Formats: sequence, C-alpha cells, structure tokens
Amino acid sequence: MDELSHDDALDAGSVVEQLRSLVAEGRNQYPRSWMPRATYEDLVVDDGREPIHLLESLAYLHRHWDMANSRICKGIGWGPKAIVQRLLSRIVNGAMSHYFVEEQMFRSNLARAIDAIAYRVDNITYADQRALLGAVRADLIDLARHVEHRLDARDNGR
Amino acid sequence: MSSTGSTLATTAAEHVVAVSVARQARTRPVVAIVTRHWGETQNEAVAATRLVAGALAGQADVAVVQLDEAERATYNDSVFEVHRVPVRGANPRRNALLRGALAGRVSPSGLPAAAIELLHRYDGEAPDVVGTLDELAPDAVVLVGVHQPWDIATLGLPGDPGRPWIVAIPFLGSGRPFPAEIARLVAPADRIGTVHPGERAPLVALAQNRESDIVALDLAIGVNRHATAEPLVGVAAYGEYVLLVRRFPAGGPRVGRAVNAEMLPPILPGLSVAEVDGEAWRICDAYNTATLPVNPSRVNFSRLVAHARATVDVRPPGPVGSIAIESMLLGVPVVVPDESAAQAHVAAANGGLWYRDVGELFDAVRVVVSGPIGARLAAQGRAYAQEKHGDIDAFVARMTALVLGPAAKEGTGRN
Repeated sequence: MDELSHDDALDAGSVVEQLRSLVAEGRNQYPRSWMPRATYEDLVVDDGREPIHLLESLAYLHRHWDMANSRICKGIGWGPKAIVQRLLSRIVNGAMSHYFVEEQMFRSNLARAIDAIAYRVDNITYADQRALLGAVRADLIDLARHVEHRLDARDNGR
Repeated sequence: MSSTGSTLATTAAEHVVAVSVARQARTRPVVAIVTRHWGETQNEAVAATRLVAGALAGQADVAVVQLDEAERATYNDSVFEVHRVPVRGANPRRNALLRGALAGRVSPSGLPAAAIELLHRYDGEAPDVVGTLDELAPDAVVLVGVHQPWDIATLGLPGDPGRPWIVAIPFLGSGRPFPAEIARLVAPADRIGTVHPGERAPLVALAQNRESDIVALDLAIGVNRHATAEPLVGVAAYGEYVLLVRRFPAGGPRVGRAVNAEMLPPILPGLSVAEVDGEAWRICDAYNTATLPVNPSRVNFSRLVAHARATVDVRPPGPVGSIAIESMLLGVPVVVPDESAAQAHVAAANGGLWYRDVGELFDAVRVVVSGPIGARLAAQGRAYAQEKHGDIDAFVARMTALVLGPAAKEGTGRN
C-alpha cells in the first residue's frame, strides 16, 4: 500500500484492486471467511424488542418495595431534637400502624403483579420466535433421524 | 367511426386549450411530483424526494401525488400540498420475493412476459392519478421512483402538444427495478435525473440517442458545520474512533449482525469504534463499551461523523448514498458496500474504499485509518463532495432549470 500513497491523484479503485490481489495471494493476517452465525438470541435482539421484565424501573421496584425500615426514626443522640423526632415517630407509627401494614402489603402485591404481567407480556411477545425455534429444532431432529436412518441402512446393506 | 374520431380529436384539442389557459392564469408554475417516496417512512428515497420538492418550492407551487395504500386524502405537509392517491391490490411482500428470485435467476434483459405481468399485478394499481393530474393541470410533472402503478402513457411522449414538461428520477437503487420497468418510466420523460454516477450507464443503454436528456441531479446534502465543530458528548474518553453505521436514521432498514462494534477493535489497534444502530449509539475500545447518552438526531450524527477517522457503512445500500456524501463533505474517508449508490459516489470522488464481504471490509478499514492513504482519500472526497453536493443554492438553481426551465419560458407573460 505504501507505494500508492505517493501518487499525485490516488485512485480508490486501484487501492481496492490491490487489496483484492493481496488477498488472492494469501497475505492476509486474520481469518477471512468467518461469519458469525445467527442464533436464537440474535433473533430476539434483532427484533428490537427489549424484554419488559429486564426494565431498570422494574428492577428498582423489586429493590425498593419494602419500605418498612424507612418508618423507623433513628435520631442520633439525646439532644432535644433527636428526642422530639423519636417521640413523633412513635406517635405517628402507633396511630398509623394499621395503614402502614396495609400499604406494605399493597406494595408487595403490586410488585408481584407487575412482575407477573411483565413475564406474561414477554412470553406472548416472544412466542413467535419460540415457535420458529421449535420448528427449526424439529426440522434438525428430523434431519438427524433421516441421516441416522440412511447410515443404518448403508451399514446393514454391507 | 370517423365522426367519433373527429369528436375525440375536438375534445382533446379543447382540453389542451383549457389546460393552456389554466396555466397562463397562474402567477406561479405548478409542479406535480408523483411518487411512492413520501410520508412517515424514514429512508433515503423519501429524504431525496423531499430535497427535490424543497428545491422547487421556491419558484413553484409543488403538489405531491403520493401513491399509498391508505385512502384518498388531501393534506398540507410543510409547504407542499399532498394528494394521497390509493394504490389498490398491491402485494409488496410477494413483489419483493418475486423480484429477488428473478434477479438471481433470469437475465435482466430477458424477463419473461408472464413475470412482468405478475410484477405489475403485485405493484397494484392507482387509476386515480390520471384524474388528479388533470385537476392539477401542472406545468411540469416529476416522476420519482420506478414504481408508478398507473397509466403513464396518458402523459404522451416528448413533443406532444399541450402536455406538461416531464422529468423522471428513477432511483435505480430502490426496489430492484428491471430494464423493462425503467424503460416504461423514462419513455414519456423529457429529461431523466440521476442521483449517483452509477445510474448514467444503464440509463444511456436503455434510452439510446437520448444521452443529452440524462442529467445528474447532484443532490445537495446540508451539513451543519457550526454544530459539528465540537465532538459528541461521551466520545472524548475513547480517543480516536472509527464510526460504524448499522442503522440510521432510526426507522431505516436494519442490517443483520454480520459486523458489529466489538469485531473491529482487534484489527484496529489504538482506535475505538463508535456504533450507530438506530436509537442505540455506543462506543467501545478493546476493553470497555459505553452507551452514548445523546439524542439520535441528524445533527448529533453529523457531529459523530465529523470527528471520526473513517466512516464504515454496513447498512443495506440505499438509492442515494447520502451518508457517504456527508462523510466526504466533512473530510472523513468512507468505506461502503460494493455495487451501491454510495460506492458510485466514492469511486467517482476517490474518497474512500468499498467491500464485497466482511474480510474486504476489514482490509479496507485498516487501509483507510493507517498511513497517508486515508488522509489523501479524505482530501479528494472532500473536494469532490464540496464541488458536487456542497452548494445548496447551486442545487436549487439546477433543479429549477431542469424542471421549470420550459415552464418559466412559457410563463414569461404571466401576471
């Protein structure tokens, strides 16, 4: 390639042809014929549909639905402010304990419900890919059976 | 029979006079663009059609006759009056499958008549176009794209009295047209516009003795140079990079996973690779990958191109090759698929290299980013792109002369 760099006007076509002739001479340094194979995961990824159960917001919901600890006031020390905070916390928690328990139950059930819906939606969304995969798998099994059958027949023929 | 023929001739003559009077009564000429390449779809053909329409809008009232599967409607789209005309009975999937099968197995010139008939049937039909054009009585008609499922023979032939000036822009890189279909489109055209240098030879072969009627449009690609002065947010930590374009704009066609950003760093030591895949933009080096937290807009794309060492386009080839032109305008050498519109531009410009397979792509990228060759290709590409595609005013003047030249001459006596 270096000799080409000193020409007055560089012809891109001649560069491409020279590259192709170098390849034809086998002077390449890395595998040329390799192509990644399509996989089931690629089918899913190329479809551009992100699984809902992997959404960051759903993960956040799972990490934070339990807010029981947030209700416990941990005022530090014995200063008047900390004492008043702890006192208020006890009064509010005592008066609202029934509501907080109900709310905790509600949040946990909400998280479970959203999780179940997300998985159900993902299942429906990827049903066509699974069907395709299933069909391809069935074809491969049929092909394997066919080949084994032919091999057996050939061996028995001997 | 003779009295009927005489009546028809009188009616036709009256129609010519009526159209002529209608045209003379206008203060501005009317241009009708008949095309499927309009609407919400984001692809090169639609963008190029809008560019053509925009260039004409300064001097004429532009009406777009949009061929679409949806029901008939008239609406305003920016400064354009759009007449949506339904295409009935089209079967695009079967059409594409048949075209793909025939392209591989039949000599393009020897397409069987049965196959042509089948393709026409799958194209559907839009008989309302003729009536719409009659109502518009345009001074000029621009037929954009080969797919024109209506009786374009009603436009007459060049030289026929009273008919509008007709320009055909076939977009040979869109939809695998066969020579018989292209010949049908260009037959009534007074001028034929090409959008890349590779279109001229097949059109000259089809429209013999009409070489002077084939005109290069040299579409102007606008680049926001002020916006591209600064690199995109998030790329600075990765140093110099090569840009891999897998899908852009976001709604455009998507390429398979044959090449992705992780495959390039091992063959490009010291360089990172930025990847544009629809709305997912990321950058990676040999060890790390980061998502680029930016809006996947055209300005940000230009910003990403402007600071790249090279642009590698692995998208399915489009009819125009606009990203190759944009990259060359920004002084960045480009690597594009062989036998594409982009390759025709790059070869004419000597502004980059092209590939047939993944191995050639790797070779080409290595050459473009190493040594002085890349810099030479970049300089040559920039010079070509600036001259041909960098001047929007010149493009507007070119389009005006091509489409409205005769109308302007006729209309010199207008109010």
